[in-house]
Amino acid sequence: MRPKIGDIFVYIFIIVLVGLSFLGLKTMGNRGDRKMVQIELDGEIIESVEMSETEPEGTTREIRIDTGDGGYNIVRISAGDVGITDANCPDRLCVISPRINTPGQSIVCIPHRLIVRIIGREPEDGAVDDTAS
Amino acid sequence: MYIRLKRFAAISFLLTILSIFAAGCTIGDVRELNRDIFALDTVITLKVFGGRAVKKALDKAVDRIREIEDRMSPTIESSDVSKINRASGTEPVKVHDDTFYVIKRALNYGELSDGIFDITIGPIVNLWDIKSENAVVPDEAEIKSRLSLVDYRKVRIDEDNMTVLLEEKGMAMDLGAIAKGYAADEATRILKEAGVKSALLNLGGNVITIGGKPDGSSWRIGLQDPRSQETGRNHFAIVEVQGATVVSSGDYERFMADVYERTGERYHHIFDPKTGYPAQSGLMVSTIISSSSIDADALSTILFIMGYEDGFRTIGELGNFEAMAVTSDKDVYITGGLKDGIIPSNDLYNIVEP
Repeated sequence: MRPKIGDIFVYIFIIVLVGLSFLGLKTMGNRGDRKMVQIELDGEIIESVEMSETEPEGTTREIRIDTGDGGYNIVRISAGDVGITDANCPDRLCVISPRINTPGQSIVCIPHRLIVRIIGREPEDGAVDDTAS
Repeated sequence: MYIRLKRFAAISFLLTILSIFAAGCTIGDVRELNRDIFALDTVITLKVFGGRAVKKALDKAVDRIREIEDRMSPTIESSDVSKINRASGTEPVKVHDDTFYVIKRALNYGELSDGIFDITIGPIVNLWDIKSENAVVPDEAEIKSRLSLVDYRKVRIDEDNMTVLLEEKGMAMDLGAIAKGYAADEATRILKEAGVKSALLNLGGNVITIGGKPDGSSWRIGLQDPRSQETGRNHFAIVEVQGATVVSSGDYERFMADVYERTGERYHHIFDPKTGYPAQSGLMVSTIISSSSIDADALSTILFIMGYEDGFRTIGELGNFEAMAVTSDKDVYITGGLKDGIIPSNDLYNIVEP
C-alpha cells in the first residue's frame, strides 16, 4: 500500500520529535551535579578542573598560575571548596578571601586579573542570580 | 502520481527541517552572552540575554566602560582626572562632557551630605594607599595635614568652558565612589537602546538589572554577608528586583590585608573626610536599591559614612530610594519599601521592622 501524505507527515513528525528530545536530553543531561573550577586570566579561561565529590576526604590539588611579569597565584582545590592560598599581588586580598564552595561564587585577584569561579548547577534553595558586595 | 508524491514528501521534509531551523533561531533569540572585563580598578561581568544584535551592543557597552575609565581613572596619566590633579592650584582643565557631568553630580552630593561625600578625598586615599604591599597605618599628624586639602567646595567648575579647577596645590580628586555607578548607567543605556530586555551586570559588586529574567521572573540578588569569613555564610539577605540597581558599600571589600592578618583590625577603603580615617559609623555594610546607579553608588557611600540614623534621614528626604544598613551587632535596618521585598536567608542577621 502506498503511504498517504498524512502518514508521511506523521512519520516525519515522530522522527523530528525523537531527534529533538534526544538533543534535549544531551544538552540538559550535561548540566549535572558536577562542580567545576574555572580559572580565568585576563578574560581567558586557562584551566577547568572538576571538583569531584567522590575523591577521598582531604585530597587537594594545588595549581600555580603564572599571571605574567613574575606574578603568581596558588589555587588550592579540594573536593569541597576552592581558595587562593598564596599570591604575590600587592593587596593580597585574594589570599584572605574566604574559600568558596558553591556554583556561582568566585574569588577575584584584581591586580593579576585573575578570576577563580565555581560553575555547575546552583543549589535550589537560597540560590541567587548574583551577589551585591 | 507516485513521483509527485515523492516530490511532495521531499518538499515537506525540507520545509520541516527549515521550520526546525527557524524555531532554533527563535530559541536562539534568548541566548545568553557573558563577558568579563577588568576595568575601573575592578572586575566587571555582563550577562546579556537577547538576539543577534546583542553582541554588538555588548561590545559597545564594554567600549563605553573603558572610555569612562580612560577619562576618570586617577591612575591613568592621560585621564581628565589626572590632568585636573596635576593642574591643582594652577589652572582650569578642559574636560569631556561626561567627566564634567560626573563631577557636577558628585559636588551636588557633597552639598547634600554636608561634605560627607567628598571627591577631593584623593590626598587621604593616596596617603593610606591600602592596596599597596605592606601598607601601614599612617601617622596621625600626616593625616591631619593632608585633611586640610580635602574640601569639595574648593572644586571650581565652569559650565560655559567645561573646565574644572582644584583651587589649592596638592589637592587631588578621586571619583572612585561614583564613576562605577555612572559607567553602569551608561552600559545600561546602551544595552536598552539596542533593545535588550533582560540583562544582569556586575561592576565590582554593584549589581544592575535590566528588566527581569528571560522568563519574566525577578532576579534574586544576594547581599554579601560582610563577615562571611567568620560566619561561613554567603549572604545576609536576598532581594528580588527587576530593572533596579543594588549597590553596597562595606568594610569587607578592600582593606589592609597584612594589618588585618596580624591584628584583626580592618582598615578599609571608605574614608571619612571629616577624620581622614576609615569611616566608623557602626555599620558593616550599607545598601541602596534604586533605578539609577550613579545615585545608588554615591548614596551607599554616604549612608556607610553617616551611619544608620543620619543616613536614613538623608535618604528619606530624597525619596525614590530604598536602603539597608547592617550594624556591627548584625541588625539589618531597612526602609519601608523593602518590607515585602527582602527575603531573610541568614538567621545570624536580625531584620528590624521599619
